Amino acid sequence: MSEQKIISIKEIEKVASLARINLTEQEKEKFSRELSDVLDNFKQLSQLDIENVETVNFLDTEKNQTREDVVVKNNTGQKEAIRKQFPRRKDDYLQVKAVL
Amino acid sequence: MQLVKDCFVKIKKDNKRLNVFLDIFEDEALKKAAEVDEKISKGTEIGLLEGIPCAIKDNICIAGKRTSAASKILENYVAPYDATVIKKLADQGAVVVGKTNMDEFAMGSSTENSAFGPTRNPLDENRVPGGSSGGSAAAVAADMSVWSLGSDTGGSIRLPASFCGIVGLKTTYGRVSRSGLIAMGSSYDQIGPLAKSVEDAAIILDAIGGKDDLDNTTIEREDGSFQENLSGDVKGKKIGFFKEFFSDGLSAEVKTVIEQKIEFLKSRGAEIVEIDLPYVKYSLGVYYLMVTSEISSNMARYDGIKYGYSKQDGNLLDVYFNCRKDALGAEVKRRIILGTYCLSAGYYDAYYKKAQKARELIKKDFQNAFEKVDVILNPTSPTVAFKIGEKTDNPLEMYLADVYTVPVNVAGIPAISIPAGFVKKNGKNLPVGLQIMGKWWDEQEVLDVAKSLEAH
Repeated sequence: MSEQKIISIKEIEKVASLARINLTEQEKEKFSRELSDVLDNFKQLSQLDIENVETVNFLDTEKNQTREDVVVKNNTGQKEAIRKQFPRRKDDYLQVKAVL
Repeated sequence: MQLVKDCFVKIKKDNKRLNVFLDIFEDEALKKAAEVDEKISKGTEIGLLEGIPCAIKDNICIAGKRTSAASKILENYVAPYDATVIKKLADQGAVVVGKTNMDEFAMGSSTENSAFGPTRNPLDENRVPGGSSGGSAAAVAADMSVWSLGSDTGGSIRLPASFCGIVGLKTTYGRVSRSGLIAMGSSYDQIGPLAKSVEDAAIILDAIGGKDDLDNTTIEREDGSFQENLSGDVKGKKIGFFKEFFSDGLSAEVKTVIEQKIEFLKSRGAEIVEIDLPYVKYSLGVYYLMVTSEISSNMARYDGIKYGYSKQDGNLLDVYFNCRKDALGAEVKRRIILGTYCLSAGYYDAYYKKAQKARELIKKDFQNAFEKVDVILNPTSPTVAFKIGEKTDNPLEMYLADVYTVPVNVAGIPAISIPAGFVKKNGKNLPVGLQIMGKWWDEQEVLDVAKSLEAH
């Protein structure tokens, strides 16, 4: 009689798909086991009864920090350094597979 | 110049065996050293860090250099810009000798998760240097650099500092800019120094801290120079002692070493005050639920589209799936899966939201404690450095190594690990780390108490 794991293999498959990662059968089984252990260890936390908790602000900020919405020209060659690393490139464009 | 040359002698002798560096910049380092020597010979005044060789963890971007985060997915990625801390160090004339090995994407406590092999602890080559900034710690311990930069999300500076017998400082969240740091857990990450002395750590902190427009979580502060204000006097200081940090799981030998240090502080006029931190026991849980959630979000950008490892077979979805399957390591995948699970519909409230709330309670615990004490003291780790391969089959056991370091990141407070003594194992002296935690923005107090312990 197998133990009911907290995260089943089916759930691992679903989550892996969301995370865009292909897992082998071995990995699915391993992660199901390991992550169930981890969640089991921390289940005390999920059982804590803590509904109304106020935020502690240690960043000392009362308001959002904003800046002017202006365009700053960047002629440092950074753009080309970025483009050089495109896996597929056409002129200055990044080439990707068809979305549809 | 001599100092830089000495570092490279060490690197040439020991790097292959210890696997500390992923990239070495000998020519540039020597050139920079020559420039500084020229300045000195002309009588020009130089800064405290000028000409001093340092090593940088490979998740911090240096323009034009490979920045791999020890992952296959970024094996050929060249950073197009400098991290803000790198710009600051360049202004100070620091000499970078190379980029150090680490756990892949900073996920790990032993540097065994690197896609390019583990780093060995210079004090016992069969043992780990700790992680994830293992390479940075080993570089300093092995005299391959005078100091180094690491990053700390759950203990990744302090744990390797503890295992390698050096000083490691994690600053208050928001003290040092994260611009140019490859993100892991954005509300936890901080860059910080690893060095041979507390004063060195203070000097580096002075250089790298400060508000940065490129990182909106940094704050304008007027704290003055930490190094200039450094004092080693603990008379009248209240040192917090939390019983739970000294019980289950803590090795008896480590406990003895730490207790000796507590006695020393008492002899110097400090008062030991018992404190209670009732929610701190949930820290590891909060950490592994929240950080993995943040990880799953931060790791989504590695998709084979704009840069990094990419396989162009199949359709668009195939590009995503294959890239991440082929080029991400097991621990990275594990954390992405856990994080995605915790954030997914049906589980978000039970896990992520709960963890967020518990985080506030833990912060409050520390807030209350710091009304009674100036700093809190405990061991950095329950054990000394473990053997390579000892915990790799059991992720949960690896996570438990972080039990004393993680509460610090959860709360966002500053903490330092300093060498406190040794434990003899297999004929080798293995360092024990002592951790001092301070309240938000109070790095001065943390450094002062640490300095007083250096005198012992």
